[in-house]
Amino acid sequence: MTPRLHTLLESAADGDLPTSAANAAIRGAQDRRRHRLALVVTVLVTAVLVIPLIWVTNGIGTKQSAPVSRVPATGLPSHIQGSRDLPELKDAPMQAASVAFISEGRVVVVNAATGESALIELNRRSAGSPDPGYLLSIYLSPNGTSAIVTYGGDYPPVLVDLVNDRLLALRGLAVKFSPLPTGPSHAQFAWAPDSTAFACACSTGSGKTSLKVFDLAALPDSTDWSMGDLRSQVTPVSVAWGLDGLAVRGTRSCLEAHCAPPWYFVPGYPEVDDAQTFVDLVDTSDQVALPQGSNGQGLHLASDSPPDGSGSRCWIGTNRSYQGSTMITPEATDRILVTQFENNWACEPASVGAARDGFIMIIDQQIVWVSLTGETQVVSTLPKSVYLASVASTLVGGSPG
Amino acid sequence: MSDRYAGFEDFVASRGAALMRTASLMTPDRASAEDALQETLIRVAMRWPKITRSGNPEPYVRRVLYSVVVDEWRKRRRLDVEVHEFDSQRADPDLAGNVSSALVLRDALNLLTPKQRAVLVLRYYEDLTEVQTSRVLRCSVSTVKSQTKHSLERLRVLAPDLVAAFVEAAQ
Repeated sequence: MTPRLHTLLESAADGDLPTSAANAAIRGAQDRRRHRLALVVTVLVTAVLVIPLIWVTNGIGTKQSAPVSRVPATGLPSHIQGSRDLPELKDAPMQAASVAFISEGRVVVVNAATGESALIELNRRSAGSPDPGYLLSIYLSPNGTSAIVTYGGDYPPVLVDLVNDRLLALRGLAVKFSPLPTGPSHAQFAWAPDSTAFACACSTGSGKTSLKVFDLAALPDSTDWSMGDLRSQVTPVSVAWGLDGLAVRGTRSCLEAHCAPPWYFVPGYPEVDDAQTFVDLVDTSDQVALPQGSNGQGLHLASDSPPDGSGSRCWIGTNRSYQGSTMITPEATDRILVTQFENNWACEPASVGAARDGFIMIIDQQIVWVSLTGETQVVSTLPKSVYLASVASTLVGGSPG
Repeated sequence: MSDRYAGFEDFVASRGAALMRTASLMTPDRASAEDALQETLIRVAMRWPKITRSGNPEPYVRRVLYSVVVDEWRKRRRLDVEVHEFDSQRADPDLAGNVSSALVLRDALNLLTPKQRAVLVLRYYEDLTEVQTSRVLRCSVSTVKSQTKHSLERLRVLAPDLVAAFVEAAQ
């Protein structure tokens, strides 16, 4: 205890109480209580009035989540078995496949109409390619009669003719291959709506980006394909071919993973006999903006084939950068149709493509159909370990037209 | 006045001056002391029924006052860092000799940092222990000890006429 310092401090202290200190404090307390009450009332009123308004607005405007209503989807069995114990395709030839997928390193095709399933033993049947390596992607033709399968490494893509049960290695594409066996492919394929041709967009070994078109009827006798170089040196990420033409989506560099590269839209299918015309049609002024926040990589582009022939729509499927939500939007516009699905799948779709009158997404072993109005339907369940699949866009989708 | 505040005016009338003295010692000027006390009384008035239910309200009121003062200087420290340089003129024995001890001590307190002043007032005016002081200031006991030592040393320089009191306190 230090009485002297305490006394000194006491003498230095100012004990003159302000006049009406108590009354002023009580008035201050009453004011604060009123302000707090007003704040609570304001928050409650805001919650009651604004939140329903937001709900109503969202309901009228852009859909940000998948609705709960279900719509019929056809063209696939509800459950698809895995590759074990399936016969090879040559033992059970089929006229068309409604879905093709890769399971345990093997390609499985399913004909939903007949219930048939079969294996395509690519490894043993690929002529000159004893070990084709890692399967990268599969593209089933819209009518389900052919499929293109691509590999990692420098192995050529393979065209599978399901009707005639034959394979054709697509050599001479001069694709710039990924240095990694499992790295991204620099060749992307798209089938013509009538399944008579397919296009390949690829970065070539000479540093150019080419768009090549193959006439199916001319293969394999003719290796002369129509081709042209894209004006911009982009790495093609996805290609779609609809009734209105071809669209190529590219990124300038794989390193720019989250930039928003433009679409390069070809406003009409060119004459396949004139390569130079083709070059002129690729006009970068027709860029279509990607939805804001979309991921630069892992983006899928597809064109559907409505049964009424009214013209196909270009669909974009991607995931939002860093948010993990899936984004589907039609017609390459800023209108986001579905950003989050009912089952809260928060990952990039493994594979996507057009359906008859909508969009098909293979994600989390589920085949999900997205209608033009944003409604979703789980069409079928794929076996575990399936990471790639493709559907025949004219055979799968909403109610048959 | 409503029953909610019954006894509040009597409490302020009886203990307000003591609270004002503490506030004036912990703050640099009278205006700050009045603000701190006013804020304290408003907070207390808002909870007055609950505070009086437990008996003597003064310990709680003082805790609120300490908290208001400490919050204020912590806030000010974030807004503008005030650096007090030692002013040799203020330590002039002649100057000190010309004014009363109370004014010299008040000037010297104003040249301490807010934390040093708070430690000194809480320890030697409010008679709080080191542990209690550390709780009020939300710092460690060792900080209270070191701040006490530094503040007394500084006061010896700033107010040499009052050295005896500070030496006595340090012991």
